Amino acid sequence: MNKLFPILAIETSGQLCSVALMLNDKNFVEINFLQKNIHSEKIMEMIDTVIRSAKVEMKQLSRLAISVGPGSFTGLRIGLSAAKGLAFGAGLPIVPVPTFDAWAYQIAEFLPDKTKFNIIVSASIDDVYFATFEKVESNVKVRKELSLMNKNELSAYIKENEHCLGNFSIKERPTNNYGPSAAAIARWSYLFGKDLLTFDYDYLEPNYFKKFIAKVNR
Amino acid sequence: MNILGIESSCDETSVAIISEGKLLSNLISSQDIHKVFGGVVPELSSRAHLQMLLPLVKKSLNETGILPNQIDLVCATAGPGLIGALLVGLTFAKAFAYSIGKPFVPVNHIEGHIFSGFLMEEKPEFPYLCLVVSGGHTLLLLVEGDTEIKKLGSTIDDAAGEAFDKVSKMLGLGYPGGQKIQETAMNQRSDFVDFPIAQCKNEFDFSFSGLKTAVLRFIQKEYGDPAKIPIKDAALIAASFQKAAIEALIKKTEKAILKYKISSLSLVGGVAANELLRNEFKKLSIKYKKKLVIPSLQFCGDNAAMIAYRGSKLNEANIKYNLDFNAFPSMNDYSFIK
Repeated sequence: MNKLFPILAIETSGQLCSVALMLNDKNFVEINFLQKNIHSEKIMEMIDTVIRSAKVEMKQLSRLAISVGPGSFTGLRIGLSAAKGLAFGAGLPIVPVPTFDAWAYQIAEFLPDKTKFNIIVSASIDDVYFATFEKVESNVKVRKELSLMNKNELSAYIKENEHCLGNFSIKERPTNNYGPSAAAIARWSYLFGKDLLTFDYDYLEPNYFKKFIAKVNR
Repeated sequence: MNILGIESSCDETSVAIISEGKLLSNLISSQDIHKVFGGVVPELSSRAHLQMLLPLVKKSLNETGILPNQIDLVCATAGPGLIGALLVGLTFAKAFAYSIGKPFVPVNHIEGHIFSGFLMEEKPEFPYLCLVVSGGHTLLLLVEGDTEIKKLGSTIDDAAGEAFDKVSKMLGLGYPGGQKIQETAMNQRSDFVDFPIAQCKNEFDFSFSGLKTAVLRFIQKEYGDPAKIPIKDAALIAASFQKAAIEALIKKTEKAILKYKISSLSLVGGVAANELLRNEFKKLSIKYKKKLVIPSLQFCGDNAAMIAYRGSKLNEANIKYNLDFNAFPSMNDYSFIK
């Protein structure tokens, strides 16, 4: 009874609010809403729409795949709160999906072999989340693990003519600025997320990555 | 009918279950992490809510022996409060309700407080006069029914609880201010300083900003630096401030008792935990022969029991809500208070 599909996937780490229902390794329904601050208002309606259009019921799902960041703290918490509520109510397991990995995999599909590319997402005024990859045959190789980096240090890591993706653009290079879609989150979850599948998600939280520092004000 | 209530508007994560009109569980997890900062840090609060919520829901269900799919109605605070914190409880509630195929009801947190007297054995009778005093709100209301609430007055600047917090900080007593001031002022004479009581244009409005400034001016004039206040004097100032703040609340309430025809009197919200204020309300109720309902301490602070109760009444009133209902930061965004 260890079926893979259908998978309900949620992506709310950035400006894109995305929900997908993966029916099998080929077919899926996906809804995207690209607008700031609509995630909490729209997410449940979007989930209801994909579920109803595919004519499945919550309890027929195999699992939920949720993008855990890094990204917008509030956005990620909206996605995780929804995932926990749905999973608990329907008795489903959750696969927490690393956002940059799923994104890299989605991008690589469209790139020629041996292409090197970077993902850069704004983390604060000074810092960015940064990771760099290379497509090797049909796989993605991580060249530099995800890190938090000062904007000014970036140029040392990025060679000319390398593709850059994310909401932080440098030197007017073309960027895809809205992150992975939920179908990519679902796909990553069944290709690589076998060991991450869990029913023990009570304390699951986003990959905040960046330290949050509150100052004591006297 | 099993009703699940969820509250996450500020620094308390709370989950409650009301079954067949009886409160079976009311779990409250307070976040201690904010104390060192002298106030609630929204990001830390939101993080803690996401961690605590599901464990509390599971514990509450375990305690009552109710299964997730036996819940018939899911209610959650939608506002007013810290948006990031509200979104955790609200989104979880919507998702859970959806996955078990049951209705979801968003609740205005202040309305939760207004009807919190109904969680007591002795309940308020309509119409009743309700004073809501908390860290963010000070409201005097005429409550005529579940969906008929008339606002008589509110604060034109700081909330009563806010004044307690700020004065407590000035006196170096720490956070949370309401509790610290009450403890410090205990058994102290309250005529050390004669602090003013504000007059407002609307006879039922409140103002605490002037009182707060009067305390600050007094400290500056007498001691120069707040750090130089002798402990003995700090206690006397706290007692004098507490007396002035509570007198302002009582004066306006008494005026309203005289003007409106009411059956009961109710005092709710976080500041309703203050002993002196509770006693003054008791005196009012005896003087005017009105039934008095002040919730016990567990229902004065933020709690999910009041959210579940309020949600159940909105559901009985046959009001339907969609899953796109969003969290809201301020009082007037969604409310039955007119």
